[in-house]
Amino acid sequence: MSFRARLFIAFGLIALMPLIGLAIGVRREMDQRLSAQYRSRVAALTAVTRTDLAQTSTTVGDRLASLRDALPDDAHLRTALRDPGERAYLLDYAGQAMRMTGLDMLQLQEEHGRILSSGHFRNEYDRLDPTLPHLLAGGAALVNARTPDGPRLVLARLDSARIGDRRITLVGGIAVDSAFLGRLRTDSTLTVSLALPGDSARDDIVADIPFPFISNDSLATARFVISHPSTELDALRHSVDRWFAAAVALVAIAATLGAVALAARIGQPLAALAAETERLDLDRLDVHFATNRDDEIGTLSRVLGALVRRLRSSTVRLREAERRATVGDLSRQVTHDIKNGLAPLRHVLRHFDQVAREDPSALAPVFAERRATLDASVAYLDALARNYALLTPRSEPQRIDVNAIARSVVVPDGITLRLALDPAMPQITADPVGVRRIIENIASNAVHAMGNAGTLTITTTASGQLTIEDTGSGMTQEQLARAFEGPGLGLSIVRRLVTDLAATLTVDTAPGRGTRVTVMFHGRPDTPIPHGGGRSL
Amino acid sequence: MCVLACGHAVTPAASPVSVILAGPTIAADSLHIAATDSFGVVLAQHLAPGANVRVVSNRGALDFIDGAGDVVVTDRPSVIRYATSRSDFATLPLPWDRQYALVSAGTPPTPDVLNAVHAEARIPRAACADVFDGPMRPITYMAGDSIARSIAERFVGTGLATSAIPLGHAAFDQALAGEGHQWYLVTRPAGNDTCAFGALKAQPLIETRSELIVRRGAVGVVADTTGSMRLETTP
Repeated sequence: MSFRARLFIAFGLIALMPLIGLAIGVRREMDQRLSAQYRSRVAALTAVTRTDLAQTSTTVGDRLASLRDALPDDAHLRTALRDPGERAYLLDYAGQAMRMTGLDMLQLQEEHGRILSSGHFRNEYDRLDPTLPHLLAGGAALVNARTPDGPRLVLARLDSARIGDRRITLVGGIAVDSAFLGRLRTDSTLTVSLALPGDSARDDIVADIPFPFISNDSLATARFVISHPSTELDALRHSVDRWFAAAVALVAIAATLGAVALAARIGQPLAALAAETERLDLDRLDVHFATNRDDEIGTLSRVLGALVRRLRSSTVRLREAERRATVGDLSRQVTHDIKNGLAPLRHVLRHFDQVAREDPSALAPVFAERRATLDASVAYLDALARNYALLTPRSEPQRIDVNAIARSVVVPDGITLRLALDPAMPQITADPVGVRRIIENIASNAVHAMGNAGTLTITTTASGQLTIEDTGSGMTQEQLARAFEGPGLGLSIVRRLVTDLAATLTVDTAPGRGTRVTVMFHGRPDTPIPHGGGRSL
Repeated sequence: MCVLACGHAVTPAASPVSVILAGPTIAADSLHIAATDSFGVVLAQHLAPGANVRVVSNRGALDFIDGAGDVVVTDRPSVIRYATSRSDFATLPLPWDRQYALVSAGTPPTPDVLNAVHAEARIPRAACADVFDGPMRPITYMAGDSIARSIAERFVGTGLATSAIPLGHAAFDQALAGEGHQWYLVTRPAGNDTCAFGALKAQPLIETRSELIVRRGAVGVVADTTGSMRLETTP
């Protein structure tokens, strides 16, 4: 998993988890509080509805009672009950009484259930309906009363009056319609409706009040249903959800951006370090981990830089050791081969010496006799020389960045390396190994001259000049001459390599003032040699 | 002086006014006339050609009598009773002019409808077979005819019809011209004893009549030898 992905997950967890927890908590708290409020309101509305129904039942009973009391005093009604010629009055009586008492249903029945007068359905007179009073004997009930326009639901009660020897049953009620249910509704968010037997059940019912229900001459149970469509609560929940979703989205976006930014801030330097480290190789130690950061990445860069520097130093030492080992082996081999080549010569020469001392006159024949041996030995040595010459590596000239080679110089601990490399330093076409040997030999001599402490400064210029200066002990002219005339190592090698490149070498040194070696790859050095004692080749 | 009439049907019945003659001496525009239904309006217009007859409700008829009304044509018993109780008004029954009949494809049973209507009504002389051999049907009537509505509700109230359906004039005529899937309450001239109504069967249910209520001293009523009546203004 990438560092960026880890950062993103970390940011997401840190930012989103508390937010999601908050959302869940707020939503649950809101649910609990609103549900508690709803339960309280539902309980209140249920109580109010029960009270209203009881009051309505009482009202119906009171109105029937007033009719019951007034009925025996109506002489015209008595006449109408006895005189068929006055029957119209009887038939219209219930309608008149119903309107006067504010009832929506009124039926006058004789003892056997024959309808004498009906207010809500005038022309249903003479119909037999004994079941209704019987079912209403238990108290108030909802009745599906017949009307000319269809059934009408009423909350009905029963009463009776006696006129002479006739017992008149009164069935009256108040319509239970949308207006009635609307009056029961005291809460704007709750609704009261009526569920009759056979009605499909609603899923938003919070309370119900059973009530007797008479329909088709049978008694059943209807329910006044209190429900809340929950749209308000749902809308609130949805609103909260939307806000939290938006907050989560914003936090997620912010976390992503933050993770990307942080990953870029941390990851890019790490990626650069990784890329630089990947380029690192024993043959290519010119990788630099220079940084100005003061954070962990800066520390890591500096550690890597120090590591590379130690690696360079170790590599130099290792190469030097290898070179010396190789040179030693080669020297031993060459010595051995030369000795092998010289041995016949030595023997022949001893033979000549012996002949010259014992029999000088035989020297010529002996020479002629041993000349083949001499020629063979010389031929052997010549072949040996050619063969060793073949061991010298030949490389194709390449375009070389002298600055890059200069950067690969490593110095041991205690020695400070200063690079003043001009980016405009032109590239040269040469053997890169030769150039590297030039620089490394000069630097190695300088480090040797400085001992345990000092500063090595490498400078390049746009004119193609390379200068390596140390703060070592410096050399006298004699010492300098011996250095150039040494046994094939050090400045003598440098001189040969510089000569091979058609460049110039200048050494400026004095005891106690250090040494400055200048190599001009193209033309002469563009700066004068500041102090005497210099030597140019 | 003024005259008034009271009514049930939106569309006047076809018939009865031949027995009512307008008096030549009456000044129609000087009478205040009202009727409680369109039948009464037609009657009143024949009594006083050219008169402006107002159509009023029951209460309107009572208010008309209490006001400056001169003539009221109505079949409403409550109005007639009230006028009878007033010594300054005379009530004169007009001839039986309307018959309500049940028209159907079969011969459904008929309930007692005499007491079902708020009108002066009688049982028709004619009676048709009453052998029902089919299912109950909705009963339709002309919307606005309160007598027809009461009869229809009586059918429903006694369980002889499934429902009462009021129809407008055009819809009623169209339904009546159909195949008799329903029962229909139609009005026709009183005394019609025909038991057929086109391809359908008719059962006369009731006959009704209106009464003429006139203010004493303002309007005179003269009956001629044919039974027709004539309004006359007093000199």
